[in-house]
Amino acid sequence: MPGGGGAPATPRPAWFEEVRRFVRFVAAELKPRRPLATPFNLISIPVMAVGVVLIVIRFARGLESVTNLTQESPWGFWIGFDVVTGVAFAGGAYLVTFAVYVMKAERYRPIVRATVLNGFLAYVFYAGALLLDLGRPWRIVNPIIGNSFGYNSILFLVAWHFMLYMIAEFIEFSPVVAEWLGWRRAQHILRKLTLVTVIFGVTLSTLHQSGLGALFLLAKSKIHPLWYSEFLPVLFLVSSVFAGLSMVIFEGTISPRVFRDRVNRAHNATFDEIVVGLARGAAVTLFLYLFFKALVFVHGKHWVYLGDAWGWWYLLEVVAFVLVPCLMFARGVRLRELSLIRAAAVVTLAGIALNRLNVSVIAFNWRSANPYVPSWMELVITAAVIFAEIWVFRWVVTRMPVLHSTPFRLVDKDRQAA
Amino acid sequence: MEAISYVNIFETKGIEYLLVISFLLGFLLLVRFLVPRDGATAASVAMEPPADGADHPATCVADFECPYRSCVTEILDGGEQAHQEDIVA
Amino acid sequence: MDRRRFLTLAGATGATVAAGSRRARADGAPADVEFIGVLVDTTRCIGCRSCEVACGEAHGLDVPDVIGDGALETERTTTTRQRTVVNRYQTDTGTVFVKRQCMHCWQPACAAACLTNAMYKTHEGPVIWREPKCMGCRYCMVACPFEVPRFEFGSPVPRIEKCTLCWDRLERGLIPACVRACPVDALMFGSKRDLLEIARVRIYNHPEHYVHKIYGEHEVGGTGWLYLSAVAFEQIGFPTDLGTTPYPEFTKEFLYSVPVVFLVVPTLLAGLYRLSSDRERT
Repeated sequence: MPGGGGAPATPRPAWFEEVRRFVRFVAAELKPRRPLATPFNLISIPVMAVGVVLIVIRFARGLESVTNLTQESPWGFWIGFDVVTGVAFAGGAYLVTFAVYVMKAERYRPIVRATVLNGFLAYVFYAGALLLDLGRPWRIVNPIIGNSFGYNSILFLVAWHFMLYMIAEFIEFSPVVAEWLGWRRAQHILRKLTLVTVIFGVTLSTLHQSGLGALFLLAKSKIHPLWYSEFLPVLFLVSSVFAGLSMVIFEGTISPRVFRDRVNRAHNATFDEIVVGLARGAAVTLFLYLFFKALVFVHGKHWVYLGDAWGWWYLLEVVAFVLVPCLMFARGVRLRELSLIRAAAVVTLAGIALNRLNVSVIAFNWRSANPYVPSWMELVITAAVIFAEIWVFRWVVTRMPVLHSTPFRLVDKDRQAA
Repeated sequence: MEAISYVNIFETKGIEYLLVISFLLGFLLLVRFLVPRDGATAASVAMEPPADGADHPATCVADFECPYRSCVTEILDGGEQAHQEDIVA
Repeated sequence: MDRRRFLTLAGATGATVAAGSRRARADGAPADVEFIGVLVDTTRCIGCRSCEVACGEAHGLDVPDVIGDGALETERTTTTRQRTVVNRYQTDTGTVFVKRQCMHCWQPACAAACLTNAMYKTHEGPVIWREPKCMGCRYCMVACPFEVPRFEFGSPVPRIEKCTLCWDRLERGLIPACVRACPVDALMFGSKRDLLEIARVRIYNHPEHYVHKIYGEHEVGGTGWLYLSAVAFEQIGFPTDLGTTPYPEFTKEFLYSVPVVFLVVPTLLAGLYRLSSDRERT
């Protein structure tokens, strides 16, 4: 309290105190809780710093200054990996929310919050990466504000779904934010919205996951026949399922202490069950995907294309990165071997990246005399975006009730005890 | 159209139907392999939160496991920060 | 077809376009406007490249030094500084010169791809790029089977460059600059209907002089630029494996399924939710 003469103390209105308390709370939350000099930080901070510099250069000098994109390869690593693969990796959110809220599979409830957070952040950061790739990013409002609705375009559909899905994910995650801030009434209202938002989110996901595949239908003459098919939308949709599941498994098992212990304190020994359940889903959808690939292969008489290097590359992708992880998952489920399941998830994720990069970049304009290879700057910027996403994820997870999903009963019990 | 000689667009349909049948059979076998008949999954057992409240401490440990507002304040007031190190530390 | 009749035809078409576009804008009913295009007779082209010069001058782009730059030595494509190029090919019947530019497809892949309608198929036929709408996503480049749109990767405010059939000149009642500049009537501007008839008549009257095919009549559903040739079109740099399906057709089924998905999936999910709830209770 400032002493000395001056105006008499007037009582401040309640809302002012509330705002001040809120601001102090948020400011305190922004302080780092852990030492800064961890291995992960020591790698990610310089990468992000360089990334910022490169991004400035990109906007000052055009895409040519940081990418290897050419007239023959207008889409490169940023589209092929950040957007097309990244969105598949984020598919866990729609699957897990579907399981928990629509199918009432309570087994997966402990991971719902983390998965939704991941999905939301993934879409936000991949939309950010997309903004870097656009020639005139400020024009991204054009398809939204109504003067430039390209209904005829699948990209229009994908763009809108991206946006709507981000909003849906945020609404699904908002009860956690409300709980963190102590806004009980808001939390209550937002919880009621969850089911509808989940249904909406699953619908949107169905369309934009398959829509990403449909984007390439127009490139018929340019994509190698082994990767082009009229069933691309279906293939992308099915692969988004096991991509999402594998990412959830992978993230859940790389930080065993972070996930397992928190989860197990609330629900004993269900961590293994969750992973096995997800792995079952992955095994089944990989199997389905294999048969789709076989159907497409037969329908297009693709055996004629197997004679050269492209044919071997295709077989490698399908055998080593689809068939093998399917078997690994199946065996891991049967024997309940978590390490095998985790390995299968890693192989699957690599396979997804490989397939989508093949469709969008590698086998795109495959006849070109100057094949596209990403520049180191494109890779650094991608890494910076991913690191930034992990930083935000970490910030949220260490402060908000994400990894521990509280059943209502326990809350009441402890309120009595405390 | 440009074609001058006959092209059978349904040529591969026979093999495709065979593929579908083998998929359905394989799918059945796969599901049986993944979910054994004696499905003693621990899930149904573990879904109940601890029946007694004894495991759960009356006061929160300075750990971010507790989502209660009181625990968050505890940490802010300089409570002990015993965080476990992990790969994303 | 003599020069006088050709000029009359071209002039009439140009006037129609100018009037048509005004009419289309005025009452919004362009139903009686027919597509226009250009017929290229590669047997007449002498490789003078006046068309390249005229195009560059008309649009403020690079004007090539046709005497000294030796560009005909290599096979070129259009660039962000040149909307049209002439290539030279050595074939069985001798040297052939071929002018290449945007084909102005009847159902363009680029316009179907563009999510902001920056790539726009006008009712008269030319496919134009509307700068205020473009966000530089380059999906049009991915879609175009002829690899026509060119993107300024080196600019912080990049443009897409491609032939617009001199849309700005057409609106003023003029004919395209390249057509006007051609000294040997290798280029003929007119309505699609007339040009196809003229091409068929030429083939019929000189069957040994031409390959019996008009390139662009059926390719990808038909293009605005039509070509006649004395040799097979693969030999003079044309892709011949594009098929006859218009490219937007490839995306039609998916786009039509969107409303269906929006109706079916939420209903299905709501039903599943109800079923799960019932199961829980029992």
